[in-house]
Amino acid sequence: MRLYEFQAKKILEGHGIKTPRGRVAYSPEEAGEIAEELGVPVAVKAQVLVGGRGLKGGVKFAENPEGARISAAHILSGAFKEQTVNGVLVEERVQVEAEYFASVAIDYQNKCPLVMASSRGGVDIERIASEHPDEIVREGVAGTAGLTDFQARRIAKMAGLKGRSILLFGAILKSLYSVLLEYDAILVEVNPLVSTPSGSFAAVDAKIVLDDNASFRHRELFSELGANVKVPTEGPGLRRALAVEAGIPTYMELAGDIGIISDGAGTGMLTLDLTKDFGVEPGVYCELGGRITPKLIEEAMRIVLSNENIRVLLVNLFGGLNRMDEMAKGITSFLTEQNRRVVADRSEIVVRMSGTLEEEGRAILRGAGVESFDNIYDAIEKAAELAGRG
Amino acid sequence: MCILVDEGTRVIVQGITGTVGSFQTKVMLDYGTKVVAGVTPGRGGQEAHGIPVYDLVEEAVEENGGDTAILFVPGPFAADAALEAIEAGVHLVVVTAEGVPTLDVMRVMRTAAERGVSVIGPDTAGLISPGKSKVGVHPHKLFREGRIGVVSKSGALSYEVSKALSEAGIGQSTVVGIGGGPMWGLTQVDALELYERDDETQGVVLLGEIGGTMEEEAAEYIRNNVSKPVVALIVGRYAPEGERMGHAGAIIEYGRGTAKGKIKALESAGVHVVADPREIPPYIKEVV
Repeated sequence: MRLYEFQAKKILEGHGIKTPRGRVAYSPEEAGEIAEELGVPVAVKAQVLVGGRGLKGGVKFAENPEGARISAAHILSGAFKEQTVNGVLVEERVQVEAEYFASVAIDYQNKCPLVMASSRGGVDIERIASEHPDEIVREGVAGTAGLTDFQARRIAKMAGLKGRSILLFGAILKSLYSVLLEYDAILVEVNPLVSTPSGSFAAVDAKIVLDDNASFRHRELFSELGANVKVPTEGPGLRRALAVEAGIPTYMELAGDIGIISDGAGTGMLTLDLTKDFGVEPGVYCELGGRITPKLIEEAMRIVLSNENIRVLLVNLFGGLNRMDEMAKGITSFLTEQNRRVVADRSEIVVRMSGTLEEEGRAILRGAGVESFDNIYDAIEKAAELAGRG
Repeated sequence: MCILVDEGTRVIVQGITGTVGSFQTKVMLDYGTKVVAGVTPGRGGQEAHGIPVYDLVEEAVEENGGDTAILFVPGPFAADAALEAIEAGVHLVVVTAEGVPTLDVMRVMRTAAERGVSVIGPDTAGLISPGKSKVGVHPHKLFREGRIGVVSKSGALSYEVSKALSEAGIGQSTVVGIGGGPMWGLTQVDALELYERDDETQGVVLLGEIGGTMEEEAAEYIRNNVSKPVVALIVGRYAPEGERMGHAGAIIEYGRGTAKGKIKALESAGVHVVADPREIPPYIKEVV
């Protein structure tokens, strides 16, 4: 789960890293009031979960409260079509002497935390990496002692810090490292981390990505984060939110009219690839993972078919852990009289079923008047035919 | 021969009394896997399908000589169970759970590396040497004993391809699911190395997917170290950028980890890459 900037900054503040004064506004008026309280020129920043928001008009500067109101109105009226703008962060503009980059992330390959620092902050790290690869210091933290003070100072020095700044920067790296461990984050990044004329450092932007797998260890934090976030009330955003709520691991909408539900990522991606190769366009990609309850597949069918663009629902199941008798029960319990009428009006259902207890599953489906295929190719062909493009 | 597991493999099932663990243990026993003991903390002294259940893995190992552990333990508790198995002295640990916290996986992998223990997973279907032993959850009727190695990130994709191979009369030596990532114990390169050394395996099917760089590393390894024919299938060719396709590791970021890049790397290493599982059996027949 990626945190909004304002949430990430709150966590960093709690670990002794300075951030600009300010808070989130949900209306232009509120933005004006915050700017008035601050009494200095401000930055007004869209709270969205996409990179490069500055280039898309998501960050504006204002000299006074009226300017802040106007900027907030622009941003809140929706510069980000695909994303809900979750308010604007109104904060003081910090005087910048130099911009740095500092992060701690999980290095999946080397299986340890990786500290990165650079004196080329302020731009996308990917750009720094491609244009100035030598100017990013990278150091894995593989030892049992964790990130030590001297190691942090060494990274700071190698990144170009001098004098007392080496100590300050090193302490910030250690804080980022602590946040990673304490919150089960997979990325904690400050870019830019700026030095100010007074010799201190401030996190002007912040990005934290939490490990969803560890949410059970941070229930309070996750529910607090959820409470701060606006949920879409219609369209693809709503369906995605419903999918998350139902515990569906992957739900995304695409351009076409075939809805794909699969049990497992490999099966899902294969279905997507072969369907497109066959010349039909998937409209939903919904992947349920390898451990499905009947309830989950029922819920998935409901959500996918609530999308009116979907004309054919293609369910491709190949179970190992997943038992086909249970999957079949989920499918048939979705097919109540009422749902059958809705489905008959608008869309068709094609099921492919193989693997653990497939005969049992197929028998349950047959009992409910649903035929199923034992291979993906016939199922795709049938789906294409039903979509009118066989 | 085959790799990693065979007739002699003595298996300990952790989480043997849970719904999934109990069901899958029964299926493994029916297949002929030598499940020698089970572990469920607090249930020591009971039996499951005639197999003794212990509170601790070390007791199970001591009294039954298990060398391989398979875990049917949910994500939040899986790392602890894996560490217990490593500590108890098994040499292969199969972690089926999805949703294991990343920091936990990191600890398990580093401890395993220090002790020289192989970890398969997490988020894996396990592995099967058809006709000999299954330490996993595969629908085994679709597999058949033979001489082709299959290594796959996705369990279900390995079922799909093994089914196609079996139907074409081509058996498998060992089918390994390495899991959905993004942090892996056993990698494609590790599996390729084992297949290359295994006398019985005559060719390898590599089933990869978008995200990360493992397929590129496999390509590099094949170029320099693998003499047996390799055929590969990469799924996620139409995956949109920035979307996680179901496996934690299956995501294209900053234009990296694309199917296109992986296919190119594999082809340039002499691997035959196909788009459809149906193309695999004819190719195997041609080259093996």
